Amino acid sequence: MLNLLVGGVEALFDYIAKHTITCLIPAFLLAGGMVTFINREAVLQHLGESVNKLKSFSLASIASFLIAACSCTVIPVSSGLYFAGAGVGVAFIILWVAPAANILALTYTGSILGSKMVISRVIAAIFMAFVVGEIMTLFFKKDRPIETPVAQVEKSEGIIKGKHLVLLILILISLLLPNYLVQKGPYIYKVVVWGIFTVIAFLYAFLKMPREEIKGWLLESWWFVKIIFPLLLLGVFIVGIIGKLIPETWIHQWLGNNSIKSSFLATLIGAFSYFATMTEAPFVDTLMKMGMAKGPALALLLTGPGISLPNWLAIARVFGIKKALVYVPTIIILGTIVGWFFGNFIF
Amino acid sequence: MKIIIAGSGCPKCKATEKNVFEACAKLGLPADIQHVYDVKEITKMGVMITPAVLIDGKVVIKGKVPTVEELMKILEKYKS
Repeated sequence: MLNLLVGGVEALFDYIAKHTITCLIPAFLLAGGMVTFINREAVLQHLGESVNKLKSFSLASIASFLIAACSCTVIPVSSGLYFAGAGVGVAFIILWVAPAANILALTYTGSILGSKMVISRVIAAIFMAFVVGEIMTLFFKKDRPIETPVAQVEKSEGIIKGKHLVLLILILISLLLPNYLVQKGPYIYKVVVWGIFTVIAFLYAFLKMPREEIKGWLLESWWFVKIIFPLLLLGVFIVGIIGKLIPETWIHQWLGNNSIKSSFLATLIGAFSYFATMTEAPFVDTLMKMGMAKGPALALLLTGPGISLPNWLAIARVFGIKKALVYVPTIIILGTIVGWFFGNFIF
Repeated sequence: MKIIIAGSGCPKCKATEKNVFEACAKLGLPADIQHVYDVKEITKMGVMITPAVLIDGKVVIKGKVPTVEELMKILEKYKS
């Protein structure tokens, strides 16, 4: 028992030491900035308008990165769009991509598991999104919600202002550059690179933006910290304990290769259990160190945060049971295929 | 005055509700405050991103948690 707790605490310290400054702080600042400065209503309005399916599906996938929502907040956004008249395919693409590949989760995956895994995660998530959108449209095209007279929303102006875009890019640089410039050497080098760009970003903000806007940005970032950080710490702690609890031979036997069986099992684990955004990365990292193959790892990265039992129930309640019954198995089948394919042909 | 908070039960929506009550209390404003959770109802109001605050049917805050001061300023305007 004591051994287990030690495992959890060790994982926690290791994690805090390695990730807080150069990864988590810029990620939270970026997410907060995106929520404050990107006009999400304008993004969503574009989605309702486009008739062309290829265009609306692509837009929906890209918009999901920009909305930066975690799985808890994405259901109201997606259902709001659906009831406001967007296609069922578009609604489910957002429901899938936002938690499976949002900006916080992606940057964090990159810092723990490397850029190849991130790129695979993005490509796989978007591929799955298009198939899900296609299938949901096929099944439920005629099944429109009862026409509700939607209040006229006034046209909002552009999606983002130039100076805000510059700020977001500066934060993005402060997030990415330390990992690319400093491949070797002590961790402090990364902190220095991060520090320089963070100072530049803040200087820029203070010179170009009114205090009110800066305050709003920092407040939003603080919200992300408050909501996600405790979940993340708890997740890392639990992962540390699980790492001590499960014998490595199990992992080797069940998840150790890129077979269909391993991918399916990884997908199922991810599909049932709830992973708060970002907690899936340390979890997958631990399992990989114990022998999990890359294919199943990718499947788990996608379905872990993407869907969960509570999330199924919420979808069934909001969108109807039939749609949930099509959506969830589709994701499970796709997750299995993606894990198997990437494991055998890409990695 | 009728104030509606459109939220989905998320932490931000709860914070918004708290701030609305606080702002009204500070101004001594007798308002009818209601928190709507139903997604379909919220969509009908023309709100896409929660939390949102509506005063007498008009959306005044959307997609963020308003501070108490911010709310007091808006409420002052609608009071007269």
